Amino acid sequence: MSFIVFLVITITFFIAHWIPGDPTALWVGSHPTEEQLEKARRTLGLDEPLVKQYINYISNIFQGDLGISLRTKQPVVTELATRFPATFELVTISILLSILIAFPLGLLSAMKNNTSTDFTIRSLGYVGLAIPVFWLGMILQIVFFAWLGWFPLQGRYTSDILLNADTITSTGFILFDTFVSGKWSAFADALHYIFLPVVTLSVAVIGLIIRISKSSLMDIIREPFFTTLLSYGFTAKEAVITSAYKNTLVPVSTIIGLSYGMMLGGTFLIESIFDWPGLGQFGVLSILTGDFPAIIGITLLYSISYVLINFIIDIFYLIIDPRTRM
Amino acid sequence: MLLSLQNVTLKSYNRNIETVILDSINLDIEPGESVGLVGETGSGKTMLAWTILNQLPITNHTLSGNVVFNKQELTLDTKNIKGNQISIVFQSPMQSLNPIQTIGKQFSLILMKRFQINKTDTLSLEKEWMKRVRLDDQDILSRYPHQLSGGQMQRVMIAIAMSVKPKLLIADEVTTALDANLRNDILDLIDELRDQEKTSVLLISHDLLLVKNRCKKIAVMKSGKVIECSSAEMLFKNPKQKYSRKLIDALGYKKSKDVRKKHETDVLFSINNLYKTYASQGKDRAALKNINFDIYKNEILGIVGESASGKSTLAKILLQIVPQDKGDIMFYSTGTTPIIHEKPNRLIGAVFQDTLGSLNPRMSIFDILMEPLDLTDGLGLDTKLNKLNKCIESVGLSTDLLERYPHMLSGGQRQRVSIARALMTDPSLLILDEPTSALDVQSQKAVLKLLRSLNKDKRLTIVLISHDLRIVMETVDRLAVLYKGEIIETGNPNTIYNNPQRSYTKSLIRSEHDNEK
Amino acid sequence: MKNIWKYILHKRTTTASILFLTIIVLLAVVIPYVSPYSDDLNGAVHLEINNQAPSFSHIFGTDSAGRDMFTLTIRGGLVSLRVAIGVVLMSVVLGVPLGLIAGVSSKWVDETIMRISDAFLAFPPFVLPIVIAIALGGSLNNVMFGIAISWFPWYVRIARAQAIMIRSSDYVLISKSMGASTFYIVKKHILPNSISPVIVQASIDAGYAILTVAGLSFIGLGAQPPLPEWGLLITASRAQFLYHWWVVVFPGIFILLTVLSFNVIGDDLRNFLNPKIERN
Repeated sequence: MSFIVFLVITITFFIAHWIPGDPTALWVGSHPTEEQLEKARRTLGLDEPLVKQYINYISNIFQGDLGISLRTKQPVVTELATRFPATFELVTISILLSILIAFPLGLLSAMKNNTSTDFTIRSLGYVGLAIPVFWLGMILQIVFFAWLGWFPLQGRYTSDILLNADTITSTGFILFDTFVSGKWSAFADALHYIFLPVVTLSVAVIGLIIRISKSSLMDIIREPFFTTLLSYGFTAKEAVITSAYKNTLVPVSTIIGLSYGMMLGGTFLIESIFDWPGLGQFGVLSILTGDFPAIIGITLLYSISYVLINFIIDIFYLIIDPRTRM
Repeated sequence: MLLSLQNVTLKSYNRNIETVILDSINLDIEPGESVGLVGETGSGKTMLAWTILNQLPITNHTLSGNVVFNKQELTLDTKNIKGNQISIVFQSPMQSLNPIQTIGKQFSLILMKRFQINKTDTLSLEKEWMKRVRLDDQDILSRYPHQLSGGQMQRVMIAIAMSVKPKLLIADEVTTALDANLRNDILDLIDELRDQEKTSVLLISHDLLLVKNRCKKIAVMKSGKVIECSSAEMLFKNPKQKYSRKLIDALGYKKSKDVRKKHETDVLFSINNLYKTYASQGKDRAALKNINFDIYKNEILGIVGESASGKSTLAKILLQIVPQDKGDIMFYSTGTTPIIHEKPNRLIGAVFQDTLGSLNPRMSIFDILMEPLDLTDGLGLDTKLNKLNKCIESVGLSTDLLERYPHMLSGGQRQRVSIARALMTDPSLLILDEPTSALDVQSQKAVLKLLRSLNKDKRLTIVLISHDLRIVMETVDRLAVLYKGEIIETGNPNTIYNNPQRSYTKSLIRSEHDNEK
Repeated sequence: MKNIWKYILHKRTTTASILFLTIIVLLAVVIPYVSPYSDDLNGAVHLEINNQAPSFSHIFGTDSAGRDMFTLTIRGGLVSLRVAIGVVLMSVVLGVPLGLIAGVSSKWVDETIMRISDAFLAFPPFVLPIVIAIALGGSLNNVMFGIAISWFPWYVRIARAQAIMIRSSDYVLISKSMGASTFYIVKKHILPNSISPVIVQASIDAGYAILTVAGLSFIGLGAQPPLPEWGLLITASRAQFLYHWWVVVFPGIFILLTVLSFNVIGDDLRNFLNPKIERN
């Protein structure tokens, strides 16, 4: 895993160095003098040879220094840290919701294969996989905000609730904090705001998980050991509940890893549509303004957390499937 | 009468085509007796088992007739039969249990369901049964299926099947996937438990010999019908049906064959000090140890070995598609100066067991047969076509097969194509690894006959590798026994058969032997 | 091969999907000659009729620059075709040969190829295309390239798995025993038998390529005006979209239906090529 992380960091560096446009211009602001540009170049370390820049880059990363955002002039690490909770909350709730909805539906679809239930569930899954995520977000805004007024358009919470000193959140995870400290109106408010973004983010992933749960269960039903259980008088349902469900965990966890990645990508689009103050929104703003330390920072953060998640999943395999331990 | 099948007929429907799987089956099983059910693949034996259990794996079907068990007619709704009054053990023990749960856990799930007891009580029962199948000293219950051998797993499955105290045990090809020397032990175990528990056993097998001494009654199945059912003695003494007679004749080789050729003294291949080791799961496993033997010109040499004996490795090394770790092979192709055989040589042809897997599914038979010549440079098209026709002819196939694709041919035809392909390069040696194991009785005989005629007419040297002692005995001039990577005996087949030196050879022959009157 | 036609026609969903895609492409080709608003395709602007709701003269309404949404949306089909073919072709050409080589070569070569390709897989889906698009400048070709760079490892995996499986099959072993070279075996045996899973993946990826490009165009990194790419059409009129639902709905529906069609075709192809007996 560490080798992969290393490759990721290196690849990112080299791609970022192809970025056209002068990063110093962004740093200095409008109408820079030649002298200011020269000074900026030295500050940013851009006057040194490429290899030296690379070595600085690597050593800085290991010291936790990702540079300064050209746009906000704050350390990239700080910017990422402040925005991290919002994205984490969004993605986590979406994954949990998706699993909760999709896994049982997939199992149901497998057990009632080729019936109308199966067909309906599968169609929903198909459509979910084909919907453009940003389009869905906008449609939901049109219908549920502009036409019905049931949900807010954007943002994470109502601003006057924030101004009320009661709701200072400690961890940055609003839902968690308000729930734990019992501030129900703030909790409900946060829920209200997170609803549409979560639904949008979950739809595609739900389709994916339904499909994998179903196909893995169907594969398992055809395995000889399932036949053995049936021959001892277990009904299909009993066989799944006491034994076979475990076997679905391996393919399903693979998909969860993939879904997590899909969601990370989706945050770019969703957060800009819903004005969600997270990493994705930061990312889009950085992209549009060519703020390359920030872009590198986000790329690294996203990629490394993706690698980490998949690593955790690999460990999960080792626990679940004894054959991998040999 | 414990079980009575009365006029049971099973038909399946697939896109308006009706297939008759079972045709008016009548069969009775008494309490405490073993009944053998013998037939080839596709005869319907396993479907019969599923019908008794009411667990048919096909969706569109009709079932007529009666299955009467313990004086009760079984219908779709009858409860408490499976895993309660009737249990079944299958052919592949390694896949019969969930690979990611421990054996103990799965055993206890079954016991809890059967006896409505709780988890702690199941443990003592499980231990007791492990003892009864002689696995108690090995801490089996906390292990996973892949950690056990085939023989051990099969004992586990038998233990579980008997632990639910069934009145009938169905054993479907339970020894087919095991080595010869394990087969009798497993079947002995079943007989023993049968007598202890007074359970009836339906012993299903394609192997008439296995079934012969253990069953009071034997039913012969062909194409979905029970064509004959009589006591074992009567069946062997006086089979009524032609098919039964054919099955019986296919057993036992002709001891008094025409005088076996003394092998010629001209050596074609000399295999010296061959060693091959594989690294598997961190340990080194010796696949072949100290292999020394010669192959003489124009002989048919048989090598008898079971799965995991190293025979496939030996075949691959003889073909040099896998290199050995130590030792060499000398090829006396011309005169007396040998060349070192260290890379694939077109003068050695190969035929393997899997008839479908041996032919590229996307190539026509014509292309498949031309491939060996395409790999030889400098041959004109006419020469190639000429050779093609000759080879097709010599294996007894017709030229209108040339445009077809492998899946359109029967197993027997495909094997002939493989042989023809091997002949295309005018080989000096033909190596066959289990060439008949996947074929039905008739095709087997045909292929063996073809091999003998090729050996006689074209003076082709043949090495025939097989686990099936019978086939080898009938066909070969000389025999070598391969066990756990070593050649433990070589010599004249008759001599070895009558006077086996090593215990493994003895047990191999015993499986054949005590099944002869 | 006759079987595949029988199967396709038997499955109504596949037939419908293929029909739909064909119609879209045909319409997209024909529309400039048929539509009265064809100069909208070249960036003509009619601010006086902008943001009009769907009507008889403008079936899908007009966008914020007064262009006819119907003409633009239909023409977008051609852009999507280009995206689908381009991305898939690049991914296959990059990935399959590498996978085949990895599958038949020594452990060392295999490991190297897999490590490098896994490094590309380590980036979560949108990230690499975004970074590449920024580096090379936003344009349709650049995002297509960026997507191919992040997807080719899947084809490496597929091709490698096939190569490994096929190289140990009996007919390959026999080929080897006749002296066939590795190259001959790859050409004659492995490649023809590896095509099926690649085709299945390719048809599904065709749809996702369109989806991904639409998303990237939405944030300004993909297609640039005046290309009538569906994602770009949606974002171009984003101001006030809440009250002009038609600029969002119609291109989005087209994306949805096109991707759906590709998914259905890919799925049916997969079922056709790996028949499993459906049991109860």
